[in-house]
Amino acid sequence: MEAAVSIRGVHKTYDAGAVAVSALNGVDLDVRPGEGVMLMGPSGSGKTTLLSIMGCILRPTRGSVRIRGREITVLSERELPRIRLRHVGFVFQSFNLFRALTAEENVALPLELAGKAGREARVRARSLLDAVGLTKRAQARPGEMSGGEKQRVAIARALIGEPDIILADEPTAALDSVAGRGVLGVLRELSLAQGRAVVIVSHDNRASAFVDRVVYLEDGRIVGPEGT
Amino acid sequence: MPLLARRNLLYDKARFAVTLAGIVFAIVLVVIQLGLFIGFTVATSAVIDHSGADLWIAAKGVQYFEVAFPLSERKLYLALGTPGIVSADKLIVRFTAWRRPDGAETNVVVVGFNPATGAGGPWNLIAGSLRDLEIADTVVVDEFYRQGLGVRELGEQVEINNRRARVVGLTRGIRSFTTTPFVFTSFKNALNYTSTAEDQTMYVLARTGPGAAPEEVKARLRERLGDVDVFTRQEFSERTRHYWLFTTGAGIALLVAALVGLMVGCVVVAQTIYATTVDHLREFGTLKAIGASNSYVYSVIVQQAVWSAVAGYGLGMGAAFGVIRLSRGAGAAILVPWQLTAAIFGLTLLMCVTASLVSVHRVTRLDPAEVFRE
Ligand SMILES: Nc1ncnc2c1ncn2[C@@H]1O[C@H](COP(=O)(O)OP(=O)(O)O)[C@@H](O)[C@H]1O
Ligand SMILES: [Mg+2]
Repeated sequence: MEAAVSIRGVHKTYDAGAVAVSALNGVDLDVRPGEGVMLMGPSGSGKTTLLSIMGCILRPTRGSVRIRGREITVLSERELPRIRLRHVGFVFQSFNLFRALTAEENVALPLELAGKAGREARVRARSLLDAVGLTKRAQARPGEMSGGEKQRVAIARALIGEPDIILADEPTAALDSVAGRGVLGVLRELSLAQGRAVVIVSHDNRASAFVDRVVYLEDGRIVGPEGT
Repeated sequence: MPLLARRNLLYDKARFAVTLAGIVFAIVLVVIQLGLFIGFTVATSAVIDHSGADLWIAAKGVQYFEVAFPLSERKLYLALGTPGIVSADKLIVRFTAWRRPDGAETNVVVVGFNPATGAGGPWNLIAGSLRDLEIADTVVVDEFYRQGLGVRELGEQVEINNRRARVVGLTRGIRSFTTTPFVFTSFKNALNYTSTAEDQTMYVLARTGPGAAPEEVKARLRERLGDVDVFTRQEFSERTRHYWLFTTGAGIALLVAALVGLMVGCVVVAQTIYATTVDHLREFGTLKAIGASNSYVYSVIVQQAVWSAVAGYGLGMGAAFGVIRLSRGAGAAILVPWQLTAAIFGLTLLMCVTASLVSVHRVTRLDPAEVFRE
């Protein structure tokens, strides 16, 4: 089966003033549709950098990034936002919801960006809020929600555009363990049901129960084990 | 308007109120300062601008309307005999003393014109009649100076230069640049009020015929009349304004105040909008990360700025006109022509959009990868 995202020989070097920081040193990684991958590794090992590159937010210095078989490193800066909108869903550590929008509007926002605002967008946002267990919170604003609730809204927002891959960088770091497990459960369940690939960065070993395999990163290299 | 722009504006009401307050403050400041400046500028030359005369003839060396030097009335007849001139009138303008009914004295500028043609005379009469100026010892003053001149009602008896004078008319909005009021009267009365010799005048106001170019007639007059200055209405108006605005410190002070007001206003508006946008910088970063195009981000930010500008302008103009209304009796000649309101609208919009675009620049330069960094 064609990989949702395929990384080959990716290097990333940051220009940090006078010194160049080498964040990734030849990473290969395939994630299949519906597959859940957990990315672990010490701080500074390149996890966020890798996630950003997979999400078309950052360009690799060298190497190939394919989403659904399409090479995206050759695309122009102007084309990348559309690729992100169509193919990638993001879940952030600090939720990054829009504080002036209701839960429903936050979830529907990617559809508005795609020019598909309207009744149908609201209906889909509603059903996703149902799916993440927030039926009654559709009209709440982020300021009125708990961390766990906010992250569920963020998951619904990540799913609404029917992306090929969902990228979550430490999605439970700001939550207590009960809320964290709830969030991971919802994320895994929905992405599996919809056949989306998920890559989760986490420090928490217990989170590995929610994925198919764990990938360890150290000094910008994958050090295994591949698969569980 | 994108949903996000609308929601952002209305969600944080305190923020929006601060933004609007900043814009309103700036607009009131600018309207009042520029309105004062325009009001005084227009006041300095108002009698000239309303004179209807195409050409003003004066003794050589006149610098501004209020102070001219006597001129033989022979110049009037010479002017009337000049090709291109269809009519001409004498006009006296001179400082003199006014004694109120209670005996107090104050300075006035007597303007003696020909009531038959009205050239150099008052306008905007709100009480009485200009025709009554044909009667001996009658004057017209502006309602604004009633208190200072001790005029309780129409028909009030006062003394000018120790001669009787009766107030037969009141005007509205004819103010001088200085605190000295204009007192309009017939040329004949003015001779007495100003102790001017009967065969003298201060100005000759001439009208040119329909086919005659004022500039050509002006050159002809200069040649025929000899040692006089001849100005077109526009030239004399500008000369007078220039004198009051630039030769006296008062005008420069007003101009500087107006320019400083304008600068402060622009800075306040720009700063206010910039702060509002920067307040949402993180959200705009998220917006980019999840796939909004730069143009979408632009449209959200710019529309937030435009609607802030429009709302702030509306409130600001309302507040400014409220202040102007309150100050109407207080001696300030604030004039706000529609061109000024339009220019301020344009400027407000420009400042808001520019300030928001400067912050957009910060957003579009924003590395979307920042969203993953805490
Ligand atoms: N924008 C940047 N500029 C310079 N160096 C960076 C930048 N982002 C990350 N790095 C460096 O790259 C390495 C990998 O960082 P990161 O991908 O954030 O690791 P992790 O998420 O595993 O903690 C680190 O050494 C970090 O300091
Ligand atoms: Mg990280």
